[in-house]
Amino acid sequence: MNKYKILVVEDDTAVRNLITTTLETQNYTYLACENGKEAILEAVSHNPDVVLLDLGLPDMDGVDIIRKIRGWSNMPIIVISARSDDRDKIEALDAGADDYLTKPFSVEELLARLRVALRRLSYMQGKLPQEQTVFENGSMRIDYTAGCVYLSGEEIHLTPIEYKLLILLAKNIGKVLTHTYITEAIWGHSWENDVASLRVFMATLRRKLEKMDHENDYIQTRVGIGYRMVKV
Amino acid sequence: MEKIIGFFQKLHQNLSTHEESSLEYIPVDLQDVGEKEHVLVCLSPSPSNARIIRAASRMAKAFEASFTALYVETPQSNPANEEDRIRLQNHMNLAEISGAKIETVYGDNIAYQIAEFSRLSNVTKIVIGRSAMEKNYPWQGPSLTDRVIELTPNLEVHIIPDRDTQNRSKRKKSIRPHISFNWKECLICIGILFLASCLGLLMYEKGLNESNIVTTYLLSVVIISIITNGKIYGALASLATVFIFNFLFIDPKYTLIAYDEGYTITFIIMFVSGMIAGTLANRLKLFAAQSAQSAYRTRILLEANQELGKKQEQEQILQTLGNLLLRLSGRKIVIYPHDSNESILHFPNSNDSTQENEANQEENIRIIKWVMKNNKKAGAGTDTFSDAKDLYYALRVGDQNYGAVSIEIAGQPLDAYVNSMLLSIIGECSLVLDNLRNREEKEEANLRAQNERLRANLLRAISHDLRTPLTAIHGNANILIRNDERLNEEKKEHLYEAIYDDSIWLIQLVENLLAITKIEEGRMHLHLQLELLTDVIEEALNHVDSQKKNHIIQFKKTDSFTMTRIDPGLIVQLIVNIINNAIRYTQKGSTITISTEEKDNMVIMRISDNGPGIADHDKKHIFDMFYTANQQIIDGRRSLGMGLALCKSIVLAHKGSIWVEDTVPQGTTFVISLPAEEVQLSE
Repeated sequence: MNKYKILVVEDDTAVRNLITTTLETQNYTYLACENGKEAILEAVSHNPDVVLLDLGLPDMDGVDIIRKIRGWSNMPIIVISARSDDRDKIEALDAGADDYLTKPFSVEELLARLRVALRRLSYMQGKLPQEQTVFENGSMRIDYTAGCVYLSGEEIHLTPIEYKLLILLAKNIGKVLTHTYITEAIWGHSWENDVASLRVFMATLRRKLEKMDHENDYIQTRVGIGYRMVKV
Repeated sequence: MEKIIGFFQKLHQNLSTHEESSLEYIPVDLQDVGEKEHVLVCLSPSPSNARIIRAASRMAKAFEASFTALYVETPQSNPANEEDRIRLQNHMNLAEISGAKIETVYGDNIAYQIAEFSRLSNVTKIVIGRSAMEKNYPWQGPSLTDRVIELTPNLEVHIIPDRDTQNRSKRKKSIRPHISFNWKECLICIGILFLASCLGLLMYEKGLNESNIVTTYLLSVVIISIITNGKIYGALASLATVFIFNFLFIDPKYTLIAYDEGYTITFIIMFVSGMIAGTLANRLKLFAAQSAQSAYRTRILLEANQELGKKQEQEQILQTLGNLLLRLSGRKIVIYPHDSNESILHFPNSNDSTQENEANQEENIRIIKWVMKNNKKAGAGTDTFSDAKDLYYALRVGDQNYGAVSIEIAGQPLDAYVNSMLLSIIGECSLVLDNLRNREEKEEANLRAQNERLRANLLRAISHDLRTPLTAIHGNANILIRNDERLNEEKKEHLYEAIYDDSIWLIQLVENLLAITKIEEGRMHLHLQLELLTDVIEEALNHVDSQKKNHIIQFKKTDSFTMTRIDPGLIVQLIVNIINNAIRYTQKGSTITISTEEKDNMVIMRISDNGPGIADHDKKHIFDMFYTANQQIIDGRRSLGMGLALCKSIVLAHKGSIWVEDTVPQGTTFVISLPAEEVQLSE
């Protein structure tokens, strides 16, 4: 029996059944509800570990639900939406969602995203980010105090901006960070030039990491949205 | 349509070759061009004209013909007296009540103007009064009616006799041109006669023959006729020479008596030859002036025609018109486009309008509205808003209005000649605008028809592409539900897979449809942002068909960080479509290679396979909507013929290009080039 409790918010019966059946096969405990009010009530009373949230609900906008939940909790929220426009995804991510899935999605993908969220949860529960001086993910080790990054035991040399980017992603491991969020954190503003620069710095950073560790893909690109570091 | 084109060609010829053409506009109802009869009545201030109008109106009704009343305004008719003006206005009103469309043209040659108007407006019958304006004296050449008949050999000309001759002769007198007597010219005459007399006296002293003196006087008459304006001076001078000659040289001298009877003959011959020489010289002068004027007019009109014809946009045409009118008249010109959203043009360029007071502005707007609504001139010198300080003309062809032009009058009426030139140019400009609008309308209609056709095809293709996989899913699921126990595991697995594949197909279709709507909405709706092409390709590889496990897909990454400004969703869709295409049309186990390079400010992406390749005759068509290389019928199974067409429109929307090449030694390569963008890195 899986110890995690998952809240499924989806108004379409067929899709809700698909998700709950999938969760059942993987032995997750789940709660299901079909509108925004119920969702908030369930989130407050049962304090689930992860929320799977559909954005198009009959009574309220999914983004508002994210904001409400973020008012008191940091529980991972994965958005499931039929809205294919990038702007909707970015809005949900900026409101505090951790990840998103676009309908139609495959069951494997849903489970993979769920696992990423749960890994992040366990990582965060294990140690509080403020106290940690060393970050570890797969063969990657970041020593915050020394400002050094090691991969497979070897130190890699990063430019100041690359280092800042890596730290930002590491501190938000498992969470998709939008371009705007990252550029504002690094440069303090989000001008077009910054977004373009971000692409280049991210590409060089990824290439450096790849060179040292071929097996793992630490940083995922979400084209048009942003980046995230995966817990491997 | 051909008719209309022919009509414009004719008009163009007319404007460029014939000096006397000065039609204000082309007064033809384009819809009426056809077999229908068209009756034309000529308006004049003659009292008998009312009867002619009534006769013409009856005729128009009897033939169910369209009915036009034409007034030819000549330079001489402008200062016509008050009585005539009122009568003419009454006739115009009468014609309007009788259902005629009132048209006015300008020109010196009335018969020519009537003939030209009839030709251009497809008039079939002309109604004219016999005495309307004609001079019946045999020595004055053919009458107006005769000349009209001569110029319009293909038309029926109906002549209404005028019985009211008495009234007419009275009227004739009243409009006889006023002879202007100018003291300056008189002095010139006296001076020349004085010089001639001095010369004569000198010759007399030298004992030269009298005939030399007579010739000298004749010469002075010719000179006077050339220098002065009007025949009257020549006539007076020739009379004067006779008396002066008698007074100075004939015995008894210094009296007006001649002893010799024979001198009477000399005097008469001297007078008559003086008159004739003077008249001829005067006529020659007038003719030279006229031909110079008409040459000038032709040149201006030709230039205007060419200049206006070159312009492709309304704004430019109106600008050109304004400059032409300004150059010609030297007065302030304001052009008001028909669409009130467009800006009003002032010539010479100034912002004086702000200084004008509010009341004036309001009045201005009222006149402009009236002019555009009624398609008639108004303002100073006309019957409507005659107290305005400007003269307003409508830019019109038939009933269609294209705006209005105002010309500053401010108490100084336009010269009749300049006025007729202005009207010609305004008419020409209206035609150009009309042409432009017709062309635009035609293009728009074409585009609409094309879009409509595309939409219909798209709908047909989509409904087919939706139905086929849905039928398969529905059927397979049905078999699984009803015959679960009778099917063996292998069979079931097969059906599950079929359902899965078909649903994937549907998902792809929906993605393509979304992309199409985005493209249809136009470039403004593309969500352009700077992206690394490598990132986009990697993202696309995540979305490729599940069948990719049967094929080898390689992505050759390069070290460059070339950025392009793209809509990532669309470009992902583009790459997915091409790779899926390669998977679909190549054998199992084939290799699909993706590579990128940068060249001449373009990012070039190649997607090659080592499949069977595309035949040369298909290469031309594969980017066409609904073309599938293997099947001729668009309804064939799994056509999705819009896949590559969509790819092409995506690339075009990004200002890039896409084409097909052969892979060496075998296979197909799709090449996509997109504009690269340099990036200044933030530090």
